[in-house]
Amino acid sequence: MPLDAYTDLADDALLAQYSKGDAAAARALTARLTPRVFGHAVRVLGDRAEAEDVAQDAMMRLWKVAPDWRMGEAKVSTWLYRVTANLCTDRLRRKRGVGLDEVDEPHDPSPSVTDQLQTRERMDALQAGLQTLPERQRQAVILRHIEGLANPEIAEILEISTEAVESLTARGKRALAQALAPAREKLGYEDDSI
Amino acid sequence: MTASDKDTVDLDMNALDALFAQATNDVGAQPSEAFMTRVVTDALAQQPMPQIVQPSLWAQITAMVGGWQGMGGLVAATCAGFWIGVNPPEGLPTQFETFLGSETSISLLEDGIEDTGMFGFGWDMEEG
Repeated sequence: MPLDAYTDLADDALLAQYSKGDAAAARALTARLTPRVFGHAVRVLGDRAEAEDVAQDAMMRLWKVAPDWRMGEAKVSTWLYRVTANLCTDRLRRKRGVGLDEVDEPHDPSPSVTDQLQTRERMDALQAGLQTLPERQRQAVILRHIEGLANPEIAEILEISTEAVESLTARGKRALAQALAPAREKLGYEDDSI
Repeated sequence: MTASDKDTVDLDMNALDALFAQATNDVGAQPSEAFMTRVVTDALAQQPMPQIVQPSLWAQITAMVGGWQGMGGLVAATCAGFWIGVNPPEGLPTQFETFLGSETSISLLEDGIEDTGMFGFGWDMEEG
């Protein structure tokens, strides 16, 4: 199958191709899903190395479940986000007691140039702010406002009701605005101009 | 407004939304190439082998005689042979007649013994 054909295939169709031994489908799924899984993990955990472990584990579970995947029953990305969210929760539970100062902040792998410094500072501040939120609130805020998922899908991922998601994201956003208040000036938001 | 007053004011929700939008495209949250390669390696290692379908016995036999065309010819030839056997055309010796030919020669030999009295064994004895 030509590579272009994979961009039009749904995740579960790609997974079926993968199960038939199609190596290009393995690459296409990796390129499509790994950045999302890793992005979620790094924002929740605040540590690239740990996020890599979680993302690799989640993807490994996907490869293992692929031959038994039932087409059209569940959304692959939702399933994968749920696995990632649970793996992150497990990690955070194990890490409980570690202070925020000890949690690594994600950093840009490429060296920052001067005009990107503020963006980097903003991202680091956001990450630090996210780390102050309770774990469920953090997951909900990241999924809703950064990953851009709809509330019903987040409800499925976190295995809670849609109303609970709305409540979590609203409270999470307010708490985050509060947590970032001391950094307003530093982030260039002192006059609320963006 | 003093610096301490500013600290107590929450970040504006619009500013927060802008921050989220920046975070969505943040390259810092992208996986490294080395990590992506590791995931692909895992995927290929876990991937089921392409299944080789073993053809059925019938399919193997059909292929041996040249596919369905060969099989069709074989069936036609079998039917024709069977029909010729059941209802042979005029002038074609029947299978029974062919066998009778050899049986006749045996019969002639037996008749010869009776009619002529010449039998190899007995002649040999007389010679001696």
